[in-house]
Amino acid sequence: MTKQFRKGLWAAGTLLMLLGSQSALAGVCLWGECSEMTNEFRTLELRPKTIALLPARSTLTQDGAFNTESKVGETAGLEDALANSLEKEISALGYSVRRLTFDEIGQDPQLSALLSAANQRYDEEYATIVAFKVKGIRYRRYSVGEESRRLAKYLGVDAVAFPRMQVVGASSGSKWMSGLGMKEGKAGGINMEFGLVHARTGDIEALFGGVSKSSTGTFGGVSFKKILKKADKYMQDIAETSVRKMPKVDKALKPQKLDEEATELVLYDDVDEEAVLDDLDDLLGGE
Amino acid sequence: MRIAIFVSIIVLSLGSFQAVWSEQASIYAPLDGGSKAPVVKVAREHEQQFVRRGIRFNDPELQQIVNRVAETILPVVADTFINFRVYLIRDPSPAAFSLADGQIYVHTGLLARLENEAQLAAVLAHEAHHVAAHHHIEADKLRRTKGNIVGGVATLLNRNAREGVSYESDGRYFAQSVYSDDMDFEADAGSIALISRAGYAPVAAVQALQRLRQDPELSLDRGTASFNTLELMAERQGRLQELVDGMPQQYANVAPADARPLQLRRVIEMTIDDYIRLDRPGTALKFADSLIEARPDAFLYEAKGESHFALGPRPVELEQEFASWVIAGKRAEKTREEIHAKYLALEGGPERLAYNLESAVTAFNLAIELDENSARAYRGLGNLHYEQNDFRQAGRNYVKYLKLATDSMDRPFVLERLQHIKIELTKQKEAGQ
Repeated sequence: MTKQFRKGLWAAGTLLMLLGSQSALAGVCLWGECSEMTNEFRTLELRPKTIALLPARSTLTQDGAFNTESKVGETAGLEDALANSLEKEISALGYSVRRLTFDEIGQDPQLSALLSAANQRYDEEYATIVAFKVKGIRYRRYSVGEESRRLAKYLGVDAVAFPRMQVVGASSGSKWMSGLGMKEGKAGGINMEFGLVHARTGDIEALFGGVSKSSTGTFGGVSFKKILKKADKYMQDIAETSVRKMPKVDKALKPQKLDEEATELVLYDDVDEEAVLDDLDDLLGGE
Repeated sequence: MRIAIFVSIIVLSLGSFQAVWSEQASIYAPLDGGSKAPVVKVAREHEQQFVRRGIRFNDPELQQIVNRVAETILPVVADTFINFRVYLIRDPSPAAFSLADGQIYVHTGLLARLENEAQLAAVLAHEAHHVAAHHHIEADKLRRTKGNIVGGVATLLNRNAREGVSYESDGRYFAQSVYSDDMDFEADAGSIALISRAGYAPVAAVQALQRLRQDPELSLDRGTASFNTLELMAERQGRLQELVDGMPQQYANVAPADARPLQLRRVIEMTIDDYIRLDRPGTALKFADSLIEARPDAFLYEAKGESHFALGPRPVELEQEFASWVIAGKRAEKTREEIHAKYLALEGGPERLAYNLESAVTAFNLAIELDENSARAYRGLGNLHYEQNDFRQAGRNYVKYLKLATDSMDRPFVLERLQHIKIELTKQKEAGQ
């Protein structure tokens, strides 16, 4: 067997393994970067200037030689590193970012309750986005409703960002087993998406995300140990990837063609309570 | 065999009550060999994550109740890695769970269901027994070894063993230990011993299971997705009843009424609100109805009205259908609005919508009859008329709501609607209507 033939065989084997591998990641973006926006987000009408960046909700899984295992203790470090990188990257696009920390949330029971309700509602919509149509965002299909509007009002921001991250790292045993063909190859890696919910509509106006290319690879992707060891590097990479298609705060993009049934938005600015109640008194008076 | 041993322990402990319990001796053997490290480590990591993510529900009044009951029933254990502590989680489902190192979590939905502290004691004692008898560690060992041949054979031999499931709530989840049926039976028996020692009637354990079996949420058929099936609960209740019947009369006949009542109004309101927020109005309605008969309070009629309104064109059996969608992996196919539209388009949809709206109006009016300051009833009527484009009625009810609920969180949103109502009424006035 010549050296060249052996090299070719190795390359073909690697390619086959890559093609045959199933992604262990589940999300909207399974490769590279991705984005979806409503027309109003594209044309600046509903482009937020201030964004509350919520703490990321992440799931960490180690793909072992025989089974997979959820990791809990390791999430805190990665989530903090991700928040640092995301704050930096989103701010660089001109947005004013109000980052929420767990300490801040823990000290404010009202904020904690609002956050919990908004996260719950967001996750319900996110499940549909992930499982079915991400393009629905363009058509204003997904509403997080009053829960997110209350949160945004409480925080005094135009929009709230809900980051969701998934990390699937291989163990050494798993990589060996995959390499020897004794285990079904599952492509691991890091993917992250964040939806932006506007305070005025309560709808998911945009979603940005991506897969960290440095975290994927043959035989189950980068090892879990390596991800934890170089958390800052990997989190910076995923943050950079995910905002790559996010427009700058003041730059309008070409609107997309929307379907004819898209409903017209009715938006109100902050209401002057006294004026409204006085006027209504006249309109409803005597009845 | 284990059950038999435990029944003996119960009889022994009751027979020589003073001798066994006053010395605070542990009836639980310490962990004998084997590695406890992984599951205890994970339990501690979960605790840190729960704190970090604000999963624990901080409510001093409720925490005080739970702590008071727990203090009386928690057993003494020789294992140094176990340190019992009880926390609350805001979740409308009637559940409690524990982790290997002694953390016990109680859902607010459970507190809303249980009638008295004796029933709460029984639930806490059941969880405490799982911890003290190292059930988490045993379940974890089984889970870890089932991937290899020895574990596979062990799993086959133990036909009752169920696999671990994820506990999902409020967007958070963790792997919850799931015990074999035998472990649950044993924990039930253990709970009787623990609550008897504390002076609660053992029959409270049977009553707690009976209440949970009849619960609108737990009576849903979730197929294999459920780890606490109705059949299992029925069997547990039957076995518990047998144990209680076999106990000496002086212990079995302690009246459950001596325990302080639970079911605080605030917790019930919270539970029904949470169900509606989670788009489970059918369960909210059934739960409100189950309480109204014994307690016709204005707040329950408010909740009933809101549940009917949230149901819209959907049937009250909606949750059963949702449960089957979850099993089939179809729940995420449509958004809430799309599900509403789907049901409205079905045969009988418009009639169901009319019925639910009419029922909501009746319930809100009953709430106002019982309490003229029933702010939520006015808001409910406002929402209902607004959806029907009856802006005049909506405006009147919203204004009443704002006057009654001066510090409500949703004030800005009600004002937005009033702004819209003002525009519509002005248009109508100009058109001479």
